[in-house]
Amino acid sequence: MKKHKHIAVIIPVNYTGGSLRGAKRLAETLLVGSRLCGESITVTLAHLDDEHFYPDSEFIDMHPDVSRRVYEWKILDSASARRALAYSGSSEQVVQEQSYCVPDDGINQFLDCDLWLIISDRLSLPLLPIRPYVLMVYDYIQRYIPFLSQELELAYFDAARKANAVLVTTEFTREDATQYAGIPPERVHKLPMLVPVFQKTVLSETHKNHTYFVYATNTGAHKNLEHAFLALKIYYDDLGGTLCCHITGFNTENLLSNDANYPYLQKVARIYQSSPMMKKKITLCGMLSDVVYQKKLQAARYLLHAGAIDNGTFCVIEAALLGVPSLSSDYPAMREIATEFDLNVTWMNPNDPKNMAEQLKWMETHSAQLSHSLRSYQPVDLKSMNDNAIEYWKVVQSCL
Amino acid sequence: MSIKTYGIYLSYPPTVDLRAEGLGRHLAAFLNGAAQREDSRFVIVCPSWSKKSIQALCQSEKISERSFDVISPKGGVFSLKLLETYQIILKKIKKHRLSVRKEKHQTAFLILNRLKIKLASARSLIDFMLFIPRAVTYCFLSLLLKLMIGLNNSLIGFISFINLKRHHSSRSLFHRVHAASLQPKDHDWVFDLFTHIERKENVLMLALINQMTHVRAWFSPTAFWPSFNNITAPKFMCVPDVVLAEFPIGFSNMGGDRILETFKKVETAILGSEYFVTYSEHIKQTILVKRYGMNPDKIRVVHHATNRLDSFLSDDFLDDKKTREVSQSLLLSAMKKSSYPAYTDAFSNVCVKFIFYASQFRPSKNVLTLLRAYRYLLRNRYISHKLILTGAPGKIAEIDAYIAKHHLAYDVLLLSRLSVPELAACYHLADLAVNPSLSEGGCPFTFTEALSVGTPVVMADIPVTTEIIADPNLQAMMLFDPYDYKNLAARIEWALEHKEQLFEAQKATYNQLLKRTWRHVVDEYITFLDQLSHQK
Repeated sequence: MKKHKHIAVIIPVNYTGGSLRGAKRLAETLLVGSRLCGESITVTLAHLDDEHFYPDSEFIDMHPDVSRRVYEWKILDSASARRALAYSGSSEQVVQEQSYCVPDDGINQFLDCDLWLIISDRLSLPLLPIRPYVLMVYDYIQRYIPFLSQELELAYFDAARKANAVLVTTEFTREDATQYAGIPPERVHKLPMLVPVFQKTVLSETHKNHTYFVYATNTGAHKNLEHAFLALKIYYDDLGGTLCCHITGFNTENLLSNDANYPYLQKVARIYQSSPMMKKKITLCGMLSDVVYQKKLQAARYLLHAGAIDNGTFCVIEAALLGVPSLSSDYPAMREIATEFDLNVTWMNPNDPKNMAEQLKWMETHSAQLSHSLRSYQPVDLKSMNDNAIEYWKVVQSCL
Repeated sequence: MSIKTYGIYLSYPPTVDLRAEGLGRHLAAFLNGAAQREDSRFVIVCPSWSKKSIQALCQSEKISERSFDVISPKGGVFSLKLLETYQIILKKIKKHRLSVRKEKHQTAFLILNRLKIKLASARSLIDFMLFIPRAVTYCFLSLLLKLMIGLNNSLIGFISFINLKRHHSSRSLFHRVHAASLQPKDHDWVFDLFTHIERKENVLMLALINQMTHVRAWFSPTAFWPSFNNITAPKFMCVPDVVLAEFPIGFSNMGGDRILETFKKVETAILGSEYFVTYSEHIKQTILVKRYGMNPDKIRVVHHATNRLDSFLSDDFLDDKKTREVSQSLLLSAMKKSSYPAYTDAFSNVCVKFIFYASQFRPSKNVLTLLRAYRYLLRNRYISHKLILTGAPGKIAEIDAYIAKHHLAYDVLLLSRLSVPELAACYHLADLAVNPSLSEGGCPFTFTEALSVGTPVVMADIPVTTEIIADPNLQAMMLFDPYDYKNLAARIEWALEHKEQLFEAQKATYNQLLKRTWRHVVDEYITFLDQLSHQK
């Protein structure tokens, strides 16, 4: 009897929000893609055993045929690694490191799976070479905004170079993967972005008050917060900006907490404190549920995305779907998203707060017109989704 | 009627007690089955040190020693006899010391007690005052006695310390030998010595075997011994499983490189052999054929017979009241073997509801999934049953850590080293038996063990089980996905709510399985042995 192939999609650290959604989407895509190709595989989504980060409610929207399993990282010294490989029938000669890591589900360490697909390259130790593995790398932000220790960076390079394949979703990241991480080009595969399936909550016109814009961000170092807040200061103090700014996203309620551990947040707090108008106009909303966020977004004049140099964000797609235009930082990944999904995004220079402020002001008067043009927007049709799924499956299948 | 003779090859290392080995019990069942045949006889060739272990096995499993022969090289190994003698002496000394210490403590206690009674019952002030000198003397004497006991121990310790400090090299040697004599298997250098001893003994065993031209064919009940392949007579090797190959990471930090050496021996044994018996089609295909490239035509699958436990509880098992009383008494004695005596010693609810899993803790046994399921049942579904396991703490750190982290020590009880009657009692009194194991050589004995004492069972959906439990309706009722703790929990919850229905459904299959006895197993072995001997 032919045994079905089994793939584990492993989230290596406590990713939540968009990264978790992306992982679920990827798991479903592989399942769908394999079925479209006439194959029958099993896909298991694996996450760290942390109920705080991964309550059951986070997985209600997951495809019912994707199973879920918790795990912890297990560290093996070289002697144990050697033995494990010997028992499994692999060569002991490949053991060259002092320590290896392996995802331990408390059952059989995912050895019932034929391939491990790791979301990101965040493996601080070499993975035990007992199963082929593929990395899904979204970006190399650290190349542009250095924040990792040398030790960790080298570990991540190592993980990527030893992978059977590295999947990326933008040309920009593909370039970083080959140029920066030093991965041979034939092992890097650029695949289409997987747009989340947004559940659309339609708001009636009467509830749209259009007196604010939504600024979606978080407290990460790569979010270009200092320039964004300088731009907001100019917008309110110099340009007489009239719209309020509602800031949403993970941990944004602590954006202005003046935490000494995060010097860039201290700068943001100082800018905020220097402007009475900012204090009057800016509201910190924190992390909102999907439904609440959508209602807020639909009632907004436009969406602001001020981050820089990451792998782009799908929030501009979600906004377009809801008929809300976006003002976005102009960087390669966002340009690719705008092109791929046919979005008419308004651009601003993320390195020039003055330009950013001018564009904020421009959106006050032009956003209504832009919104009108998004009435019938659809990011991607079913055929494209299926084609994408097949493309993903074929690449992963080649590594089995 | 001529009697055909077949050989069984054993080569366990020194200090192995066959009663504690699963293969030992399998051998016992086989020999009991073989005793029923009048046209054949088995001869066991084993190392000299294993003879006593085989005798002990026969006694505990009630096998008639007249039904087979045991042959081993004459004389024995002198160093092992020394080791055995030393171990016996150590045991006696320890027992003696304990009893002397106990006696002295008791004497001191009696003296003090008398003193208390005398003082308390003095009739007058004069009496009281007259008694004081005697009381003081009593106190002094009892204290002196205690001091002497303490001083005695301290003195011994002090002298030992001085001597050991002075003679550092002899301390190392003495300590090494002493420690090794207590737990030989835990010391690499002893393991190495044993390897050399075994090698020599194997040569002598082979010489004996080569003289036994009347033995038609041989088999080895396990794949541990490459030396078995040196036998030139027709033979086959049993391969119950190669669990390290299926759970390489789980076993990678158990036993160190000694286990790796043992594993390599198993591989050498398999690769050097030609004919095999496995207990399941699954092991035949996945291990021997797929992993080691063996010819499937040269592999026979001989399924186990059943394991029953009802006779261990009562002569008249159908007498519910009597059986229950016996079982409850045995449960209390089993509780005394708990790893948490502070909780279980005074536990007296013999009607306690529980779920039962009988197995040692091994990476392949999937205990953590069972614990996850149990925790979910207890804390989310409010199922009040306890979970009783027979594994010992300290074997797999993750199990101990999980129990501690989730405060389950009062509900998950570890009762290890149970006697067979205690095991039977636990099965009988449990509301449900469960087996979440991911891999076994054949269909787990849990099914027949539980059913034999009236308890239904749920089991992991694994190939060795579905080979035997083939009815899809029954599979749907009793099997669960061993990788999904919620699926396991749901199956347990359903089973607890439908115990009678499940038991009735399982009884039919159980009765069918009972028809296969160890005599049948022996017959199939003999058929294969005969085939091989004719081929030659």
